[in-house]
Amino acid sequence: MSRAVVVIGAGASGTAAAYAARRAGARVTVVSERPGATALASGALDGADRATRSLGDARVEVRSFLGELGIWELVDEGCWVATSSGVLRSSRGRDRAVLDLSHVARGTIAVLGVARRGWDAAALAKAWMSDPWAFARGLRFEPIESDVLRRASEALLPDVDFAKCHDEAERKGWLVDRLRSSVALRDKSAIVMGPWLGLESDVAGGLSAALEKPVGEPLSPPGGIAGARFELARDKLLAKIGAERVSGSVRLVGADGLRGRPRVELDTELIVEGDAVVLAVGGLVGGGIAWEPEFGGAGFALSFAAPAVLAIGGERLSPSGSPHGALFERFAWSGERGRAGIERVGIWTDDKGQVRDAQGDAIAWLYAAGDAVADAPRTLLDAVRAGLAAGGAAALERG
Amino acid sequence: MSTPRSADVHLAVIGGGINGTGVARDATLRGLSVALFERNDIAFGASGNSSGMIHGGPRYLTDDPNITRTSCLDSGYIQAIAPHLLFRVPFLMPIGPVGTERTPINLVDAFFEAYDFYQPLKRGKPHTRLSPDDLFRLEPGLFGGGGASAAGLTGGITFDEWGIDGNRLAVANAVDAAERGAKIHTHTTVEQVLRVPSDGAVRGVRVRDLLTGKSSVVTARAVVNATGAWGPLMARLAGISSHATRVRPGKGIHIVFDRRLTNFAIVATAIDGRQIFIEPWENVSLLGTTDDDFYGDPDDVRATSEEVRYLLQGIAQVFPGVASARAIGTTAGVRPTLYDYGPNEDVLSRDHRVIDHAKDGARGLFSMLGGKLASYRIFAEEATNQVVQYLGAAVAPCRTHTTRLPGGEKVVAKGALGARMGIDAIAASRLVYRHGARAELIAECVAEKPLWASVVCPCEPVIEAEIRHVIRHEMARTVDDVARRTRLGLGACGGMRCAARCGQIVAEERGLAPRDGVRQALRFLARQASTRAVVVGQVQAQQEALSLASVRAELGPLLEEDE
Repeated sequence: MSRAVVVIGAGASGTAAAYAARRAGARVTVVSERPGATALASGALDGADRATRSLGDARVEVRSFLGELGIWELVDEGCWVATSSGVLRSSRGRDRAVLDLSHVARGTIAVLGVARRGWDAAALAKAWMSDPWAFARGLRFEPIESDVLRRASEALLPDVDFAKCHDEAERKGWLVDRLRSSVALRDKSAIVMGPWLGLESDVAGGLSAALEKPVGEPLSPPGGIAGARFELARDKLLAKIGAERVSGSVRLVGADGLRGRPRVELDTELIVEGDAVVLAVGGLVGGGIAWEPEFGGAGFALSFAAPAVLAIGGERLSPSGSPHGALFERFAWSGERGRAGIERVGIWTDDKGQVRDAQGDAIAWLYAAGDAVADAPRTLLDAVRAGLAAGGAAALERG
Repeated sequence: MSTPRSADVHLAVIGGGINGTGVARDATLRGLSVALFERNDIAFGASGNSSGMIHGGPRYLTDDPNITRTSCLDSGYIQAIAPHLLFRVPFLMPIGPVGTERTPINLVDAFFEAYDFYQPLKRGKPHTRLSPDDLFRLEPGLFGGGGASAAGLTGGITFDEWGIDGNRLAVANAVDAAERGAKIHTHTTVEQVLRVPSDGAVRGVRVRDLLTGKSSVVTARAVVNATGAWGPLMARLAGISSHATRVRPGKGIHIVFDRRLTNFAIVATAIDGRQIFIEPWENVSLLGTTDDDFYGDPDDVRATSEEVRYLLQGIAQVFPGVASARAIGTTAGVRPTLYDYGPNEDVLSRDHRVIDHAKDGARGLFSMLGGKLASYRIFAEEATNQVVQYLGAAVAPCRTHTTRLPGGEKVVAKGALGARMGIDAIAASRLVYRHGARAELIAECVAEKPLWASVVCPCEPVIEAEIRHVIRHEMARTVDDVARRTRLGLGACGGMRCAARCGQIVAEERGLAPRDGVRQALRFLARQASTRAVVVGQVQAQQEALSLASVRAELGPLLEEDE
């Protein structure tokens, strides 16, 4: 009988772990409750952390996973994308709806002026054009007004809802006709549109093919559409590979004694048993780790009972001596050099992603991946890489 | 009076707090030519980080009744010149149990009887003595809502004060001075106060713009040092003894909560017997304040978690609900209290004094020491009188108590304005609070550019047109400056949803590279995070991580660059 793997968390690392475990032949159950850091995706795949620029041997597997997920593209030579804050930045990859400026020919890029609140094409064009990278590449941006709203109420529709309208084939065709009929767009080398090019379908790709020039979005602002696209793509992928989904909040992860079968207990009183468990629970953002500043604690704690311990910088967290509890300011984002403690505190693991117990010994059946791991780079690609590794390892019978 | 022949201006004012902007306005109104230099931003220090009240100071009644009288009188004048900026803050003072005023209620009652004598000066209502039942009817959250069961509760007193936005008050003074011809230079530090070698008289200042790096000399016949806690630094730059401008800096902090937790300000007693209070203020609640001798750098004052815990412990005795309330940040400022060695911080005089440095060999240099928000106008009048006397100038008399501040000219109908601009009632009401009649100018802007009605900061809320207005007409030069003037990014989300967009607008308006706008936004976010970090509770910790993660998701390498 094949091994059973329980993955806790359905963000980037949890989805990758489920995928890898399933590929290795295990039966997989994914337990998840609420959105985490991946739901904050902007549409850019990292570029942030220099240390993880190289995925090394994992590249092939990461690429094949992203291919299955179907919304994110890894770009070997890197890409350049526009942000809604008005600057251009590099990235290791992108949401397929995001315009990659490094493949746009020298010339003028249209920024589609649409009368929707929060979208100021003129300001964005001006800001992007004055970015040094655009200047060096000979790229210009020009706001081009175009009425692509069908109803006045669409001016106030949230990006996600407006994007959903564009999943309909009829609306897509109408949009293509609209854009085609614009004389001002004809000589432009590319078109930047608002972050509403479809939720489930590849609207940007369709427009690019129909108009014979790159069409895409800038990165979405926090909590924007890129996260919503991930959630839909994830649900499809997990269904496709036949992973079982369980919804609920985890209360305990454990195994009785040395021989006991690992189990995951939920608030709903449901118990899921397996041969191995992957903690892809996220850090503070995902809710796997919580701040609990009571007396005698270390401040941070796992949000459920498990044989895991927390660490930062390779050392276990120790209790604070203050009778009023630990001080958060020691971990907060200070704006000074180095990553803040809130981004580094996590589960103590060995270098293979296996969780250590309080004595520092690896627990055979327990793995962790993604933001939940101490000192892991908080990047999407690393979360995917670690998830694939942990899921693959969890699916293997150990000697 | 026209510009003096021998100098660029009659008067150089150093410091853009309430005292500096007050003097600049007064002197300009009297016909002097004025240049003001502020090292950070208008109201950056004590003025913008006060308790946001122009209270009459009942605290000073026993030792210093004159302070109470001037405070009340001037509080009344401020109402007359800036009615839009004021809001009533009724206070409750429970009496009896641990954590409250312990003086017998008859004595407290008699004390406020005396305070009532001054209330009419500021259109304040007389106090009322309350039974325990009255207290709980007015504020059911007192003592955890346990009814009149709180041990030893004998009743309480309610009295009346006025709230104000100190940032807006200082900005209104600066804008008025500027519109009447004064030159206001923010983010411009004074590097030296220049003096005539032969007789030591001041002849101007050498200044440097900290954003552009440009230095210049501005000659002036008189210089007013209105730098508050920075006073000793100014003395040194003028080449006189730093003892000549000695103050006893007292740090005070407030904790900011995400909403109005009460309808009344509630007075409590901290563990060391000091009086503290929680106060509904604009959209938030302020819990304050501490008063501790300060030995640090006034450019970088921050609340610490010790101070936060001290205040929380104190107020929780009377209003336990505070323990589960959501704190969204802290403010910290340094009071430039008059120097005295010996007394406890709390009993130091809140009086003010104008020092003529002729006695230190520097004719034409005057320092404003001490003072409080409520009496800034009379303080500015006294300082301007001395300057006028020194210059021997024939000028108009002081008019600052009768001439309305910008925005105070007339009452604006909020509802109609909001409907015309296509913004919701709350946004319109906040806009009119901050700008008074000047909100009409912002509405005109929106009429021309309807997209500028878009809400940039949803917490406060702040619309795009207001951001552009404060950059164009209120001397805002950075994202932080915009936040001080509009309260953008100071709400529950800590700027996560608006800082980047605001940086983009600042960069566009000021012709900066967009990257500089992003950097300003990141600096603002980091500073906001540091004011929250000392109070963070369980839910907020996750919020902190969320905000950092979302900034990283969008800006990626740019964030690393800025770190």
